[in-house]
Amino acid sequence: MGEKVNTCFYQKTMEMVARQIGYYNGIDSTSISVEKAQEIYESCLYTLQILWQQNLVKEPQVLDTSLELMLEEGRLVLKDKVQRARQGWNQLALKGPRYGNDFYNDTVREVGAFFDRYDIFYGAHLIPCGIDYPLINPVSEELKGISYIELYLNRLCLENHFLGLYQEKSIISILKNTVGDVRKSYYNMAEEVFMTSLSRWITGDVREEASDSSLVGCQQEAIKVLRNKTCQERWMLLSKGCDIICRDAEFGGMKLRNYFGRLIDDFYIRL
Amino acid sequence: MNNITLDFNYEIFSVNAKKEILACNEYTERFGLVLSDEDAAQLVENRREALKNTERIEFGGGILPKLIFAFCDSPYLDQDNFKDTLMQLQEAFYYYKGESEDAIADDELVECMVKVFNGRAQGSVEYLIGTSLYHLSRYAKSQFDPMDADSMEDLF
Repeated sequence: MGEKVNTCFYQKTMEMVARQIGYYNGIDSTSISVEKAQEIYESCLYTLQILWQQNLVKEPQVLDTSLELMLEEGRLVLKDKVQRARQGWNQLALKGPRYGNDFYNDTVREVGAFFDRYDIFYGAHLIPCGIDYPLINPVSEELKGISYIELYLNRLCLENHFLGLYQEKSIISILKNTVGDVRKSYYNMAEEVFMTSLSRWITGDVREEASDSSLVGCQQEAIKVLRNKTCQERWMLLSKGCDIICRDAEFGGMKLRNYFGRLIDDFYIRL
Repeated sequence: MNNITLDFNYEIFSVNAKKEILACNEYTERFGLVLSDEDAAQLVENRREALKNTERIEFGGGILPKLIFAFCDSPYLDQDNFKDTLMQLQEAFYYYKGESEDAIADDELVECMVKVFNGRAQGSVEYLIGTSLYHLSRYAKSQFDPMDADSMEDLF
């Protein structure tokens, strides 16, 4: 933003926040704690940012348009995002994997509670739920409110889509052999399945059903194989393996391929 | 945009606050209580300090007009102690407000303060300030008989 717009925006924001605090207090109170006022302020800023990000507002509009109107528009965008995220969560809760991991189950339950607790008026930037299940690609902590939840659910759905390519008993067998306590351990299910599949492919184990013995230490076996190759060969092998593992996805194969890129990079570095 | 912290222009709010305080004179003069321009300015300054100390912010005339209307008919207030008492009451109000985590409405709190000030505290702001929020609300609900003050708990 230009300096003029910046100053004007700042003044208008202060006036708007004062009015929003007035609405929050209603007739019950004339004052508010600085902490809560700051929270309302951040909520307003986040809501306006959503409009900015979606290019629904242009810079000159900041000078001419009432920020309250922009705030209203932003809240409509937020409502729409919440609705779509809730639909995504419903699918996840109904069709998601049920391998009994406590962190996964608790997180899915908590994200469900998010939709009841989320306050688009005075706490739009907050994430009122606990998220413990780790993703392969964690969502940046800089993302706020529904933006965080939206991206978290998208990534979780993608990971679940990948897990859906495998039979349930194969997944349980892999998890039991790699993490041990499937229920209580803190791990990412898709990562374990992907890394095991990749390691098996590298070691030439192409059987549909893997025996428990073939799963134990298969990553170490793969590392041994890769260490006998040149850097370029290692990279080629890892990339090809990733392509093959992801190609079975009916849709989003490329998306999966990109998503698992970080795992490939990490594995390559470990060599 | 994320790192901007709240910084309201208190000067604008102070002008309005002073006007609102002085407007109360029309009502309070029937009780022999009048605030001068200087008193109003001091009260506004005191309010700013009280808000700062209790980490709160407020717009418009704030709580002072309410306190003035609620306390002006107290038998314990006269022109000599009016301004100073209002200052202390104002500080006590914001303290209680913070203590209650905003769970108690302004009107309800002012009502409790008036009841205890005119009853059990017998016009002592020190006593009022020394009373916890819990006891303030309890005392406000219980009857106080000034003729039987000895049987009351913890009176000074």
